[in-house]
Amino acid sequence: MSVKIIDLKANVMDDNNILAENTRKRLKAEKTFLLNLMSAPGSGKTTTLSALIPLLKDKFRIGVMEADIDSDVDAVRIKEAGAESIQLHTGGMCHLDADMTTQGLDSFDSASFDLVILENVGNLVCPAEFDTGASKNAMILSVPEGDDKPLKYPLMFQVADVVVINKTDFAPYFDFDIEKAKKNIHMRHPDIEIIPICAKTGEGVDKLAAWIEKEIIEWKK
Amino acid sequence: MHEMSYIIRLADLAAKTAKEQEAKRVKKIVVEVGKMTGIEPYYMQKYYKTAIRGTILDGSEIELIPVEVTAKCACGKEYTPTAAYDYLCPDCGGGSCKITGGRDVILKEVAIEV
Repeated sequence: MSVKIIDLKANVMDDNNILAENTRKRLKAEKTFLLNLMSAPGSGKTTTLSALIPLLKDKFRIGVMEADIDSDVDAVRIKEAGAESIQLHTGGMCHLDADMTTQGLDSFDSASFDLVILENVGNLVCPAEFDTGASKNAMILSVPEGDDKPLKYPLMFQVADVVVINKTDFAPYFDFDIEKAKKNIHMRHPDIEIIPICAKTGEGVDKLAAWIEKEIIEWKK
Repeated sequence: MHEMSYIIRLADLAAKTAKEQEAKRVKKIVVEVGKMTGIEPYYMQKYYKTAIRGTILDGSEIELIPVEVTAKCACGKEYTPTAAYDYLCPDCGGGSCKITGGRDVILKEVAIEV
């Protein structure tokens, strides 16, 4: 018996990256803008969407894919805000990949929406590594997490196309310096747009809505 | 925990190669792991043993080769980001860089018995 060494040099993420690229092409053809929303658990993804959907729902047909390990509490809240919603159960997985995202898109007729928001699993590490096929990536940093988050999770801030700073009403109670946070974010991703909001009171959510609207129009061109 | 995602992809790819080559068994797979993938080698080793049970890869080893992160700054400097410079460019202090290496997991080779 002889030992043979097969030289492969195969990138194991190739399948994911190819599928993600195909999904983006399909969404472009369908004129459906897919926003991948990422953040740590408890930063206010669902609350942000609940405040955002009423500002966009008269202009755009909106669908939300809620990824959670195993529950449907978020999907129920999204329906109450006025958007179509489906729940993706990741069954313990800490992130979504292009395959799971595409299955989600297939299961609720993505072409019938102008905007689909993918609420990724609450996690700042793994979701940053897997291209989902989204048109753009948004991430939420909430005030209680600290203004040094961009230094601890650099990749998340590099793959994001916009950073939302949520829970600004908490800033006086936490040692959170918004200028320092902006500086730290720009250190990781120069020139990235930063939108401070308070999802609970609705402050600043109009600016996030305007950013999304601009991106949808661009995507549909 | 994302190690399992990588392991499943690696094992599928290696098993496919082994079958194509009509291998009797697989001795070892060699994997290059970028340092910016957030992968813990300890868990890769641990999950690999579980993932390959009952497959053509059963009994094989996994060798992990760490790959440094490399970046190319807007100023043209190529460097490895380090904490000593806050991961910024050591020449110009800028943060406008493209990551050029260290984010991939590559199945470099598969050693098989034929």
